[in-house]
Amino acid sequence: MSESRETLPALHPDVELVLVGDEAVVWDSRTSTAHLLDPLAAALVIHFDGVSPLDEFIDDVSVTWERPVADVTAVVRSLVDRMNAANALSSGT
Amino acid sequence: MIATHRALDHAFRIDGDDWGIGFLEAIFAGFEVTEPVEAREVYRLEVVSSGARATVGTGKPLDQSPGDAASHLVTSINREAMLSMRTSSVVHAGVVALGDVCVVIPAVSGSGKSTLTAALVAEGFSYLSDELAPISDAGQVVAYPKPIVVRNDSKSVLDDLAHADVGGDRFEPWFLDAGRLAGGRSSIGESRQVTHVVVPSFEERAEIDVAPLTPGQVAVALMVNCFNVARRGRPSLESLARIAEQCSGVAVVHGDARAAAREIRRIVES
Repeated sequence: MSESRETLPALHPDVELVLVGDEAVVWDSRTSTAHLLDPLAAALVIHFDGVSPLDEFIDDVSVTWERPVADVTAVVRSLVDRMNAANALSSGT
Repeated sequence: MIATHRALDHAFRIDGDDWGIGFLEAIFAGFEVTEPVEAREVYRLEVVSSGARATVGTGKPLDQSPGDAASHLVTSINREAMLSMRTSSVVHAGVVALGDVCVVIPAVSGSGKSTLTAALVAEGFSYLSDELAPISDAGQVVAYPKPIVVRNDSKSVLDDLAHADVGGDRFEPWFLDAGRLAGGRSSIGESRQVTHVVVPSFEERAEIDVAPLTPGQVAVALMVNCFNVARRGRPSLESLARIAEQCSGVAVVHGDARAAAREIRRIVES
């Protein structure tokens, strides 16, 4: 039996992502709180669809940004950790 | 007969004894409606043996100190005014204008927003609001120029503005009629395009520190101080984001509202 591939997380249904220039605001309607994402984080989080394979996404970003996969992986993991800490992701991601 | 008044889109009548009606008429001077319109609520203020009584419509009367009773009614009217704006994002903010410049000052209660707003009007800015800033999706803010409420702890820095108090001796806070201050007050319902957002922060004895804000930071300041995001949802968030992209934003830390007002004037004129 093959192991299922890790996917990108998805935003919580009660969370809205609003782009502001090259930044983004994550608005949590449950708590009426806002989290500001810098341009780097904003460029990543718009792809958080809950279905795309994480490794493919990281590879694509690595090519686009011309940065090592390890660096991109660290950035993405850090962003996911931040979003999880803010309860901004769907459960299980 | 007492006229019907309108705070934003909330039409109401005031009632009470001579003192109560006199106070509410002073606070909402100029908000009278000339055309026939049905009042949605009646706000009654009167003196009683224990102090003053505030009654909203057919609700339970509240007996409090005169200041608290009056504040209760003004807060109730403000709340209904906010709820009446169904197609605007209503931000908790002071608003002033100078020429083509319109400055929105979003902040939480107790942050010195009204003190700074009063200082800006004394510095020559025209007054639009010290509490509710209804901003249309096109970025137009509507004037709601009821008197500026100045609490006791701010009076010392604004003592030269005492002549504009229309609240009377029964109240601890001043209710400043901006029409009696240097910048004057904008017409009720006048709309202005938002050009600047200033996020103030008062710190005892702090030197003035001005820092530019990114559009994202401006958007956050508007969103977290918006009363009706929950009701309007995404259209409100998108609208505030577009406004944030189109205006200049600065954070101003200060320990002196008068000095901050002079600095803000210098910034918007530069």
